[in-house]
Amino acid sequence: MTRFLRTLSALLIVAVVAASGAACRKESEALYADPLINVFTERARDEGLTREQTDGKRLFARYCATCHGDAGQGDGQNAYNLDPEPPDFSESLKLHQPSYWRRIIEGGSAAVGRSPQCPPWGRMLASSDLDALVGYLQVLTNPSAR
Amino acid sequence: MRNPQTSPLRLHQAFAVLGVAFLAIFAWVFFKEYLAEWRTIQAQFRRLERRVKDPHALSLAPPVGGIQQIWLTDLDRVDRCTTCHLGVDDPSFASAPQPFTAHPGAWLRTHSPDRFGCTVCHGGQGEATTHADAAHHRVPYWPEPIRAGELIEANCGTCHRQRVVPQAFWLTSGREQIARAGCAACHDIPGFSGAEVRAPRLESVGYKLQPAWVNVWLANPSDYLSQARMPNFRLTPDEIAGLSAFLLAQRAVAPLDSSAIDWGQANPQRGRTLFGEARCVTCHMVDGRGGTLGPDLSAVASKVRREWLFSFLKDPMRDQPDAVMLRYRFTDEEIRDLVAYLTTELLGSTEPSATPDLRYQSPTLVEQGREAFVRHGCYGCHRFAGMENLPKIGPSLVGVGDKPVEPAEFKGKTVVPTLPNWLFLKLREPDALLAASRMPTYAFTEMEAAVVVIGLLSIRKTELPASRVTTAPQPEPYQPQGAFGALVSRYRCLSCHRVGGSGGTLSTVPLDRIGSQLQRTYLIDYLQNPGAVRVGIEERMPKFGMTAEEARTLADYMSTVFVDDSLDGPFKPDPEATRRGERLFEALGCRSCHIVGGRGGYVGPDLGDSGRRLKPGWIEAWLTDPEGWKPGTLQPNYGLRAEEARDLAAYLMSLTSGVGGRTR
Ligand code: HEC
Repeated sequence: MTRFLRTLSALLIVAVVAASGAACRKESEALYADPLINVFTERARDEGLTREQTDGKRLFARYCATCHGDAGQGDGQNAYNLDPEPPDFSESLKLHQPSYWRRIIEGGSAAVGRSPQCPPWGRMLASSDLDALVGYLQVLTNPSAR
Repeated sequence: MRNPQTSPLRLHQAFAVLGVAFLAIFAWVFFKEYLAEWRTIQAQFRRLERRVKDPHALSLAPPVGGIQQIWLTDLDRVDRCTTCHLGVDDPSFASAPQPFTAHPGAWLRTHSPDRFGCTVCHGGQGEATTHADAAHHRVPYWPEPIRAGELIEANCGTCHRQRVVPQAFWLTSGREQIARAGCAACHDIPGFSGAEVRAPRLESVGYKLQPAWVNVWLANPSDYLSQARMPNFRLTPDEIAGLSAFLLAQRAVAPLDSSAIDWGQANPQRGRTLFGEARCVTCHMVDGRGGTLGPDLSAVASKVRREWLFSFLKDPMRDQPDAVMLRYRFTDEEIRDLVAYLTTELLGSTEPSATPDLRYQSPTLVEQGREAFVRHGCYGCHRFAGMENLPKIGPSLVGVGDKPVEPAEFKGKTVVPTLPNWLFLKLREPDALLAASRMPTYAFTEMEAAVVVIGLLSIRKTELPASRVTTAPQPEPYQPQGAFGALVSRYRCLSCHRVGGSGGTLSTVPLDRIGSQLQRTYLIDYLQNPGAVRVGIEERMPKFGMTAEEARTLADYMSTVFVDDSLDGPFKPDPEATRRGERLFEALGCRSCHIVGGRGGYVGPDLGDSGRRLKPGWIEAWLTDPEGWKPGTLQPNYGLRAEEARDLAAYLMSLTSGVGGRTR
């Protein structure tokens, strides 16, 4: 009987030690930093954009910002040579659905019966690029889409 | 004594116990298999599928059951991920929870799971059929845990070996950063050549530099220039003294004689005007504005000596045979004024110090300097006579993406000990990890270091079959001969322009078919008096001061050799076509980016003088496929029919009135 008790207590001790050890390890691991990953997560947090939206932002800066302005406010450096001038997205885009924006981006503003001033990008950009642009326009119109 | 009767009974007992144990084990295995994680998950999926899909689609869907696997025979890889990730290639699961979510983006369209599996891009353990075994989370010592989403472009780079991978922005920036930083000058890195780094040769540097500047620069280059390309070698004061003595003693080629120059007559104001006219800012930064092909000149007066500067502007190739800088055709007076502008206006000592006297330099100090020069591998970037065959001082980075790292190397750091973190820390602070290092400290931002890590992680050990790898062909260096070659060399056309894929990237206009794009007479004019073709662009072709004779030689050669016969069709002006072209020009909205008749946008070139500038065949070809001629161009593709492009060409060829870019 005593032998049984002794074994049982020994087992118990081992179990407790093992459990606390595991708990400690968990805790200390949590303190470890992952500096490389943090560079990206912090940036993503600052910008508040998804990967697709980030792609969209990059495309927008390259292909669109000369006319539409960096933030889509219709104040790009080439805007003043245009008639009509590009609208301020934060106002104008609310009037339409994203599918309508996509049609403009793909086929130009002429494709929806407006002036030919906004060029068609559908033959040059991949369909995923167009999606990314639409995604980024959503951010521009509605900051809570982030 | 043994009892013969007990023996069979004992045996029976033993068999009974074994039998029960066997049954228990069998039952356990059966249950374990029956209760396997993936079965539960597949059951969940079937329930989800019934909700997501209508009955018809459901009846068409392939039945799900058992372990799924993709076997990539050529890579010797088996991926069973689709056992649980059942909705991955089905858009109806776009908003389903994991593990059933459809793959985001359009990636699977170009990388079908049948051909690429999952772990090729994502890492992890493809053969595993449980969440834990597949190494879904970052497991510190696991040989290949799943690649964190943030770093996934490293895996793109394992197959896509060309420098620019359009869909992988971070990877591309990492590779560009590796090239820019000159890592390959000290390390063997697949895909990078040490010859890409062009730091000045130093055999005659004793004539060039101000001694005080040498000390400042060696102690920490970014103290002098925040954007300095040379990293900080963390040199000791003794090493700096030695290196400085060694450098100032290098006097292989004396500068051109400038003793006849009357510096009292110098006019810095005229020098400044000339600096603007010659478009020096295309390559040189001054007070935060300008290009980065050449060094920042904001404080050049405290760096170089006046006599050297004079000589360099007169003939940059004299002591720098492969200088990026071109040889302008300035007169001595113009150079004098330019030097005066650079040395008085651009800060620093107005009175340049005399050439330091060699007598006071101790030969032992110079010798110590030479040793330090070799020890730190300075010759990797600064090519130096007699040191051509010394080895690279850094370890080879072939297969660095699989480099094993020891947790012990992270001693004293609370950092998850993974290879990516190891590389990141090393790049930020080369001495931070255990052993002292000769690697210099770069002034990388965190982001720059992070993308370099992505670039490095893409370099894996295993060889891939050629069918899996995409590369860009290595361009042959282009070295034209004869009178044309001499001019190309003098004016350093290839520092900015490409021919046959080799050359600089500052200009967006490769020269390969320039003779079929532009008219000869226009070329002759433009070379002598380059205006801005695209007003919105800062970088412009410099005004070389080229003679008419030289311009003609260059233009003749380009018009006969740099041609593409497919572009040179016959062209006859046709008023009907011209009118149709004009209507099309207005209807398509071309004017929103191009100026014609003084009115229009300035995203693209002014087209007011197209008829004197462009060739009709080129206009037509360009308009039908802009992307094909120039990947990444801003010119949209309007999907024009051949007749429409021809009409537009006819219209543009009728325009000869423009003022050529100067309108704004
Ligand atoms: C040459 C200048 C120019 C460029 C480049 C340009 N746009 Fe436009 N865009 C315009 C003009 C002008 C309009 C207004 C057209 C109209 O109302 O007839 C417009 C309209 C639009 C609209 C509709 C806005 C609304 O309020 O209904 C969208 C969406 C749009 N552009 C997206 C883009 C995107 C995305 C790009 C880049 C891929 C781009 N544009 C590039 C000039 C430009």
